[in-house]
Parts: sequence; structure tokens; C-alpha cells
Amino acid sequence: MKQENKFKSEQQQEVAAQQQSTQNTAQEFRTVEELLRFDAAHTPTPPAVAERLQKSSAQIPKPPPPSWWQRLFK
Amino acid sequence: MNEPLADRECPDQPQSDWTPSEFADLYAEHSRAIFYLALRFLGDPQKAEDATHDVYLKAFRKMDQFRGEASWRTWLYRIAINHCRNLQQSWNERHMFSNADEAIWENAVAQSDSPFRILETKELGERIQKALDALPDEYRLLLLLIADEQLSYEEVGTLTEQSADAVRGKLHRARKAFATTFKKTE
Repeated sequence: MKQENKFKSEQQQEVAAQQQSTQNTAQEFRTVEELLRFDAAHTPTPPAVAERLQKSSAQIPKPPPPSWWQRLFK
Repeated sequence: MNEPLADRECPDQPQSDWTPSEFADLYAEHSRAIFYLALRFLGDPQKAEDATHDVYLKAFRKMDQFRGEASWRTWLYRIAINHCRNLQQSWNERHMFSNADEAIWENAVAQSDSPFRILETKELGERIQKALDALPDEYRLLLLLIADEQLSYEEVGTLTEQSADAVRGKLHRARKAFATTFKKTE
């Protein structure tokens, strides 16, 4: 009997925890924009993009400095 | 430490003396917005990753052409939109794909002013993508741009080549269409 009560109590705790977890993640957005902003805020740029970009941009030759007459009229 | 690009005065003349760290600032400030646009417009994480890389590489090459007529973000968005549209077009040509007729959304019955309820954040991205995929490209792009708080209606109009009033009108229909398709993903 005592064992059964303990089991029930654990079950109730689990259910309560699940409900709590659902309540924590439940969200309401008034507009499409709010929804998209939330989604965007939770969508980081993959780090691989920066790594690839660093390699790609390093291969691009730097443009030559402006000539003296270009600097004169700047 | 470098001055953030947003605080820097836009150059009147083309510049050719950009340093890698200044470019890194530009990446840090705007890459999330560019990646998000590419992701939700193209609907494919790998394509979005490639597109973000290509957009920034184009920007890096064209930096000396930036004349300060628009903000950095708007300039990057313009490159991203052109790039994504080209990708979309070549994909559509290969697959003979077309979006649903816009007229369908005119008669959409969902109320765009009713709240969007989400129980599981982890499923949110999937549901948003499904809803956006069902929309015409124009509506999808408008919603994604207008959701960026840094852009005004005028800037969204410039980026999509229409007046701010036209943006407002189409946005109303786009919101309604999104609400309809989003409810179907429940």
C-alpha cells in the first residue's frame, strides 16, 4: 500500500513536471512579425560560414592603392 | 578596437582600404539577418549556408562600390535578395515549379489578428518554414523583411521595387495568407 502511494506520488510529480515544462515552452505571438522575430533570434548563423568566408576572402587579391592623382581629387 | 560599422559615417566615395577586421564587424552585425532571410526564403539550411557565404563574398569584392546611399544592412539585403532569387529561379526552371496563384490568398478565411500559439519551440522553425513555403515568393519576402525591425516600410519598398503604400497593402494579404497556412501546420 505504502509502495503504491509512493508510486502514485512519483507519477503525479512526473505529470506536474511535464505540465510545467509545457507551460514553460508555450508561447503566444500576436503578429506574424513577432513570430518571425522570435524564430530569427533562435536561428544563429552556422559557424562554418565564417570559417569558409575567412578562407575565401583571403584568396581575393587586395585592390591596388589609389594613384597620386586619385588621392589628389579625393 | 574597431569602431562598429553601424556607428561609422557612410563614405561618400568608394573605398578600397577595407581591412579584414572591418569586414568581420560587418559580418558580426548582419550575418544573422542575412542567414535567416536565406534560410526561410530558400527553405534549405545547406543552401542558406552557401548563400550567406556567397553574399558576403560578393559584398567583400564590391565593398569599394558602396556609396552610402543605403544602410549597410539594406545593401547586404539587396545582394542577398538578388542571389536568392537567382537560385530560386534556376531551381524553378529545372523543376517547372510555380507558386500558388496569389488570388487564392485573397479569399483566405483565417484571421490574421488571432494570436499564434506555440507549445514546442523546437517545432516552431519547421512550422514556420512549411507555412512560408506555401506562400508566393513575394509574400514570403515581404514578411521576412518587415519582420526585421531595422528596416522601414520605405526601405522594404526600395528592396522589393515598390512604394511603401504598396508594401502596406500586400503585407495585409501576406499576413492573412501566412495565418491560414500556419494554422494548417498544427
